[in-house]
Amino acid sequence: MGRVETFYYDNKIVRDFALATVLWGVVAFLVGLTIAIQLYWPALNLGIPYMTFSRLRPLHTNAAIFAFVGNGIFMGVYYSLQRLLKTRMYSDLLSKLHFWGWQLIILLAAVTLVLGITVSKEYAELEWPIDILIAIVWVIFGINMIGTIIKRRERYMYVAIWFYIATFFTVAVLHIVNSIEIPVSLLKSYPVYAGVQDALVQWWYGHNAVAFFLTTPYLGLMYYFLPKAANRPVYSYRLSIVHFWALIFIYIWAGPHHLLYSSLPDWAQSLGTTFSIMLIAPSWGGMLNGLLTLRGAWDRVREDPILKFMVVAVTAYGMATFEGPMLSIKSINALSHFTDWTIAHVHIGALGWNGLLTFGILYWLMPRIYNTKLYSVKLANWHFWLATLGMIFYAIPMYWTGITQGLMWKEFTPDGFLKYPIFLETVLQLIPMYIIRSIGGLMYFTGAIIMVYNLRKTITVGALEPEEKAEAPALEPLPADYKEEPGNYGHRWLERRPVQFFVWTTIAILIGGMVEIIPMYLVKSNVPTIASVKPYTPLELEGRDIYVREGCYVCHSQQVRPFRSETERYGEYSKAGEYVYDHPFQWGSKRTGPDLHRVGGKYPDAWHYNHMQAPESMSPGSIMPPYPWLISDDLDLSTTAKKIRVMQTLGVPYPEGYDEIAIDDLREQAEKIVASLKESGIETEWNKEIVALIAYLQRLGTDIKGEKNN
Amino acid sequence: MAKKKKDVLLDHNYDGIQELDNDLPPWWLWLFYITIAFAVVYMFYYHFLGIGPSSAEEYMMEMNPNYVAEGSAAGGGIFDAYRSPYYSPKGEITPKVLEQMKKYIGPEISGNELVMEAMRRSDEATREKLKETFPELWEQLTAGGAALAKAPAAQPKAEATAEPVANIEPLTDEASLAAGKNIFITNCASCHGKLGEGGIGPNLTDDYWIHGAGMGNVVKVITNGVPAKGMITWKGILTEDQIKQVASYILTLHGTNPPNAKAPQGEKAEYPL
Repeated sequence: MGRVETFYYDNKIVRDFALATVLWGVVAFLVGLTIAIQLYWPALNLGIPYMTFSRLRPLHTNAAIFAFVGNGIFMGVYYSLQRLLKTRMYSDLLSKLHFWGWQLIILLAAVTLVLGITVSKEYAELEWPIDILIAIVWVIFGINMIGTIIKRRERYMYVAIWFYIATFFTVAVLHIVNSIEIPVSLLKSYPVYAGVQDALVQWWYGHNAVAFFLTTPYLGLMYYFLPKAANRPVYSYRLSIVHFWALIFIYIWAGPHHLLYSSLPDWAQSLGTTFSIMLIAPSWGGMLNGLLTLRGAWDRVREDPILKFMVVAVTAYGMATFEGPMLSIKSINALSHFTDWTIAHVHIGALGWNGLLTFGILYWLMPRIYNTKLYSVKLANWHFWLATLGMIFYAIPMYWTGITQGLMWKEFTPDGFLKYPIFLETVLQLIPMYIIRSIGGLMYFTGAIIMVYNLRKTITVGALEPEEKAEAPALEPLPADYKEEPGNYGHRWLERRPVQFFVWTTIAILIGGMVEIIPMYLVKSNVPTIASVKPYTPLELEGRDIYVREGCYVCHSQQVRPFRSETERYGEYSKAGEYVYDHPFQWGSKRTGPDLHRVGGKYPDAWHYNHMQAPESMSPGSIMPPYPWLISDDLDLSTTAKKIRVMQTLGVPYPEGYDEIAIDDLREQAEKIVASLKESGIETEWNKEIVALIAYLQRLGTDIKGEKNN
Repeated sequence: MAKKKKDVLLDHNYDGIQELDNDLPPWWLWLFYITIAFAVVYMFYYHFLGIGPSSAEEYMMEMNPNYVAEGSAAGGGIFDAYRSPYYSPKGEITPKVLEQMKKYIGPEISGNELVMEAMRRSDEATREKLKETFPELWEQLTAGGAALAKAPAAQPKAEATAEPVANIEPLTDEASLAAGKNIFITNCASCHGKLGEGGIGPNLTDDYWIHGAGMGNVVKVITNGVPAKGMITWKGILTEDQIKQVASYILTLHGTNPPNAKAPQGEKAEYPL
């Protein structure tokens, strides 16, 4: 045994991340509550663009995932990593850069998203300069973590650290690959992928943001904080090994389950389904190791709110990871997809697993670094019940609306007509449930406010111990004849070799993505071309960018699935070849409003004009907010030529030199729309945003109408 | 293998966290094996062996129960195999097709007579298609009367299309008209103008009607809509009574000459009707 060394844990950085977690948590819940209410009271957007549902919803998801859970991850990692490795963090400077860099990213995200600066890829909406910043800050975190692992005083890496390592590498790969885009200007870029390929890359990313941002790091946190709080040994080391490797290897394949019955080739969809099913056991391995660790401590669960939070969190994880694979079965997905069922599902994960575990950790950790006791156990209990009941009041109405609407979309009369041909009817049916859901959200939010008060009091009573003294023997090299602990697949050997561990983890997480994504590019039959599909005109392209900016994809899909109920309602189902010029794709994931892939030519231009100005004038009872600024604002033509050139770089076949005459073409097409509007008594000018948007909407899905049917 | 003792502590200690050497729970392990087997069977069934239908084939089967998949999904090509949605699960002509035929032939005949009439007017190729698509119906129609199909195309009856749909009397009581006005202002004025002068939709005050004048036609257009032109189907939003009320109100607008009236569209109707 080596000489005993004295060192200090950095608690200040843990405190900083903890406070950021609380702050952004409250913001994320508040924005969520706001948009939940907007669904039945659209006027809550106060008539301003920045408060519109379609811009706030990405803000809500980003705040919940990257601000609240993100800071929660760093709080837990910085606390547990130091203690599990018996060392201070590698570099205080990197810790600080990481903290402030991450908060800067969050601020930039909040500002740009409400301004409509977005790439529109879900949970990866941020524009390219912020993407670069994220990559830099993430690497800073990685270096700091790896450095800490290298200079450790503990020979073996505990299971929590395996999960942290997998998280770091995978998120880096996902973020970089999904964010490859070509800038048009400082605040606008086009992804290099188009249509089906963009969709696949995006949902490979999107699903694994759930896997490697919301799940693996939190499993790591669970493996540290749950045995700590319960003061019980972890149930099974062997289970940790098996479920860790199975989870990270299988998870990465499951992305295509977000694209079932879409234009994605069937083989990729089937991989999504099968790997999701195979995920049940590896996911439940984590739940089992959590719950079974509590054996012998259940009497304390009744009294200790921290353990209560953790138990419900782990149970919610178990429920969500069973439900996920079920939703990946095509016949269930056919009903659930595009409905609120998905929203219910993700909130079991987010409110339950991430939220409650974060609260439990905060209540456990804050008094410890402040050298005091929690101010009020009673208030923590109140928080627990408000959060748990809030979740139930949230989820049940959402399951109800999801199933109700899914069934209404599919119902036919005996005569063979859709029973609810008007989409709005199926929306209005859900309003009472939306109201109950927002009450659930309010309860959850109230609980969080109680926590803020409780922690605030705790902090005031105690005093932060910024440098916590610790002692441990230095790590000595092993004797040459050292024999590793036998059994368990020789895993012990790997646990003391970080480099080999990194390498194997990286291999495990790369395979799935490569098998799915590479053939999508190299094998032409995956996206059969359609001769009549032509690039967007400059006006349509500008209109499309407005569609992206306003976040129309938040509520409207552009993907008609091959079901009779959908082709009856919308028209011919969507084909892969129709999207080849869609940088980025706009398939969406939720139908709060109807699908728009075949909306082109369905209504007169004037209908769209009036509908954007006041949706209720065209569809009485509509919950779509008005977009009057599209009517009054001038179209920004300063980058049109550049956009054409960027598209040419991406392989869109505009003729050479087209960028120079693009604006002339744009104006010519715009004047036609102005003329058609005039026929209906609407006066506007060719350079208004609404004209471009109408051009895009009228183009949507019309390319194949000329295609022969036999 | 000798059964291991339960809850043996391993010599692991991480910041006070210990680990037990418990085995994997057998039910958990079996669950894992079963899901892996499921995945393998699934991939073989749908892909390597190609037994299960692709998404596109599922769709064709939903639209046409007689559909037989040809080769693999990659083979035929979706456009070639796509058929229109006018099949009932029993292989009969659906009400929707009949509706289409009525538009083509006229509303006065129905049922099998309508189909026979359609066959009579069609060319040989279309008849072949009908025979192929609706074999049972073909049998039924031609049994004992094969001549029907071979008979020369009859002259379309010109007067058929001009006939009103049905004789519905407009409501005239004040309460109904007031209710109708209310419905009109909330639902119709956005496209047809507050006074019925027209806008996105046609003028409702002049002598010209695109889909026919009179109570019956107006009720029909409101009920079914004209989706191609952006007029939605109001059936389901408005009750039958409400549709009658608003139709009656619309009829009262005739000849009111509101300002900013939209230019006439459709055919001139002879007033009084």
